[in-house]
Amino acid sequence: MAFLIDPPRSSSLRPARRKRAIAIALALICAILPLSGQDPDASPLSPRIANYRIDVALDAENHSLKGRQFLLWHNQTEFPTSELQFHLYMNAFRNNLSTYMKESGMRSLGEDPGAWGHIDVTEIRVQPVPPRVTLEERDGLVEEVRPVISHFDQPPTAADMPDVTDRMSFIWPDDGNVHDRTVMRIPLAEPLAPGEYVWVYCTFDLQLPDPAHDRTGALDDYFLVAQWFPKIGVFENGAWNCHQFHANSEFYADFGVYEVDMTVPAHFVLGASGVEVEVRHNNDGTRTHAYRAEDVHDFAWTTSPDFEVHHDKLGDISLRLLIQKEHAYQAQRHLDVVRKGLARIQELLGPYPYAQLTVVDPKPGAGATGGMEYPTLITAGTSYGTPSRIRLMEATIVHELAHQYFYGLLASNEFTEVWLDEGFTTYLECRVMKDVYGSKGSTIDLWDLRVNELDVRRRGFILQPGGDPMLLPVWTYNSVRSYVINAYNKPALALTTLEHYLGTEVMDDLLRTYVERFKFRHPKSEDFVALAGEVSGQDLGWFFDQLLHTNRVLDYTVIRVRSRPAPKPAGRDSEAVTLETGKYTNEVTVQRLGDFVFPVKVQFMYEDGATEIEHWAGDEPWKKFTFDSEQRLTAARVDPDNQIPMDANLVNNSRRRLPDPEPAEREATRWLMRFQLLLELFAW
Amino acid sequence: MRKPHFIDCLRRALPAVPRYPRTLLTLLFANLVAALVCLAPFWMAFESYSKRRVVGDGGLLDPHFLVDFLFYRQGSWDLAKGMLPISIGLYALFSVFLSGGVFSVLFQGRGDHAALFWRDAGRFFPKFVMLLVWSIPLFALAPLLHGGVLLALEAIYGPELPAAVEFYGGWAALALPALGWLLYLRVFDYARIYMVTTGQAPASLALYEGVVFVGRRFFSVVGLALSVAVVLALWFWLYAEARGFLPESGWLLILLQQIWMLGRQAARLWLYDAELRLFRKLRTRAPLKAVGLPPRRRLPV
Ligand SMILES: [Zn+2]
Repeated sequence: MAFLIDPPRSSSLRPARRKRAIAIALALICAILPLSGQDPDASPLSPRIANYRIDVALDAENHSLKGRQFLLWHNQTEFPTSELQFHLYMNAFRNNLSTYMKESGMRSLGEDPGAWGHIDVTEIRVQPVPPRVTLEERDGLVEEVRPVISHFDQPPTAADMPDVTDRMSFIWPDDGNVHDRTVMRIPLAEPLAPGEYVWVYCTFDLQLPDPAHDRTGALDDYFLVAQWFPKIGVFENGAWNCHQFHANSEFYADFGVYEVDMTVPAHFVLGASGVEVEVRHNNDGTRTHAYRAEDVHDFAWTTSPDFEVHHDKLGDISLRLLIQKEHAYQAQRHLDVVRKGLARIQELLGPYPYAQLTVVDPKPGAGATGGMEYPTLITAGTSYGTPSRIRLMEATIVHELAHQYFYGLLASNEFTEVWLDEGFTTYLECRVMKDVYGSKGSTIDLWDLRVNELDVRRRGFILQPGGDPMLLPVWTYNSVRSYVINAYNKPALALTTLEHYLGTEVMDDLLRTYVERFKFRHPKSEDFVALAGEVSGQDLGWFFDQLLHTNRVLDYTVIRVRSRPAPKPAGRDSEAVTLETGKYTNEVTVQRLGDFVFPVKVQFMYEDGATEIEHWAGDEPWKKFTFDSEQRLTAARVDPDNQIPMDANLVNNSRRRLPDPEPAEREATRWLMRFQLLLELFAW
Repeated sequence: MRKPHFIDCLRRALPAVPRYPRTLLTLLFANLVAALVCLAPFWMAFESYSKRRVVGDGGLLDPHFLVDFLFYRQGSWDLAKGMLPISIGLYALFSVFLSGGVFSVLFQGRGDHAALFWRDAGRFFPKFVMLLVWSIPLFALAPLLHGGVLLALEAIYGPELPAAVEFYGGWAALALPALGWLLYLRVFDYARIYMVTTGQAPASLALYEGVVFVGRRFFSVVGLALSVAVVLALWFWLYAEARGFLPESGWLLILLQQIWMLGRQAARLWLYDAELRLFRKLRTRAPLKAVGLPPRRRLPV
């Protein structure tokens, strides 16, 4: 099963500014025509910059792995690079001196050495591949000539590659913590020019932490192997984007092809990103599972003898559920939400482009590996006996499904623009939960207690609505709480607010276009902002500037409602005057309590039940509406239809002219019986 | 086959209940007042929040508002929650106080008797409280039962329980003390009945008698209580059905609630009266007049 790099193609450019055109053409060609798929005629979905072949064997007893890996990396930028940088994420758990441990405030992972994780790269060899693309000018046109085809599945012989093991060093680009070993640097003998490929071979020893931490690790014979292999950073704009592993941050990587052979005990069930292409039975009681994942930017896998495997289908997508035996009775419940959720997400965002999706139910006690997204593999998490109307597992699955787009396809930088991943995902999670389970109690639906996913997010948000600007490198937020609010809750509420502002149709158009245009790329905040302007046909800079770059709080309130009988004309020269006014003179004062400016609707409510809407740009500190009416005014409220969930305080959104005890009485009636029943438990 | 004793007691007790309308109303009224006391701080919290606001159809518990209510009115909410256990505790004591009167008038069996009711309520209250004090060792069994179940499960399955065992075992560990509690309530009933029927007795002895009676007549005791519980459950089902026809709030609903609660108090009287009958019928030994040896006879000089 060969698959080819650089199938012959041609392209043409106008004969202006030749040299620059050549450079740009080269970059473009590289971006558009990278590694091909299994079908040599089909063009690949992604640029295929970082392509891995990994062989790894699990020592289930010791929770350790031994691996060897070939990476074929393609410099598709316009810049040369004189070094390569790799993430060694597992070293975050190496000791308590790592940046991860310091930021998370953990003093130790435990006395047992097996509680700690680490990765040691034992050998590194690097060999650049000459560029396969040449450009020739003929008759004033630049033409690409690709005579040689390189085989990804025929990597060079490792022993023939130059050994650079002793040139490897650790760097600390974010915080200068010299004890942190999560970023490795390898200088190149010769700078790698734009368009060139390089083969990197390495061997590594890996120890998984037990119990698991931050979505990776082991628990007895359960393994969730993630953030595990030496993973190259993203080379962009002439520099490496390769951050250390931080307590709150997730990841950023380039797309490529992964061919991974995992050897595990023969009785273990295995699931991984991509699809299984082959299983080999070995003589030593192990089995090797060969997986292939195309056009993804990470690879994670899990294995355990305790999984029960369930299959389902959604269109052409095969769904594979690995569920703990003791949760097996919930298998249908898992598959239901995967099918319904993914179907709805595809309606909203476009087709899921991969053949398979694997859902993993973590072992009880290894909850740290739950609720995580990897390309084509997600982890959920449930517990025995969870009532079907408490849909926390469902919300988690919907969240991770949404990540297949906002993370999987749109590989934004989670270190510095986390809202593009977690925020969009959380927004979609709220929407899809509502669409699938109804708008009254999408997450919890127990008797009188009905909680929607968006309410859950609002609960988190109002704890600190003005902590930090949303767009900050994740490790610079003032607290974990601020990270959670700005990564998840606030963006979800802001995007819902935007949806209501633009209209759902425009929002859907915007989301779909965003996915369509930026899939398999690294969109940035400004890309989305510009696109939002383009699709909606209006300048939304005022909204996003406040949202992304300031910590402003949105809060509008009604502070005064007055309504008095209009005075009859009186005094000198007033006898003949008949005023064209109503019977009542009204005054409503609305105030902007926060510094976030947002246009609001103001609703006036009259005694006969009639209502009237006024619009206020919300830019002044306050606004007084003075008007006459036939009916007496009873109340006024801002945002009467609850269209602005970003409003930090909904309690103050309305005001009555006269107090109305009725709602409290109504509630009291219901509670009276509850208390009477409760007391009977204590009537001895 | 012979009919169980408790059925007979229940059958005889039922017609007796309507003869105690004032006792019934007293129980209902106590419950209602106590519920209002519990409710008041919550009501105030609701009102301070809602009287100047436009509240949607979902009411205050509309999750959209609930989130903000709980956050921005945390102070009044916490106060209301904090006062709740105090109110409940006071009500529990008051209901123990009332039970002295209830058992007395039922024991006499001549219908309502206000003077007797209040006199005996006061007379037995300290004794009943002593009974509660003597029950503390029994209460201590609850956590032991709970821990015992968990330990037993661990002994069988090892330290890592299968999820199903952990789940159902966890429930069992909760249910067992709860069942124990229900059983204790019976002991408490019969201990009080012992005190009321014998006139005088130290709390420790009454408690002992209660335990012995419940132990010896276990099936009758449980069968009787269970029968009343089933009737009560049916009564609740009727109430829940009827509730569906009424608006979400308003006087009609309150009225219906009070009718239900009246039924619940009637069931309580029914239970107490049947228990009294059962006790008198099945207690093998004649009630002791006093503890220890019979009074010493003065010997002729
Ligand atoms: Zn997420």
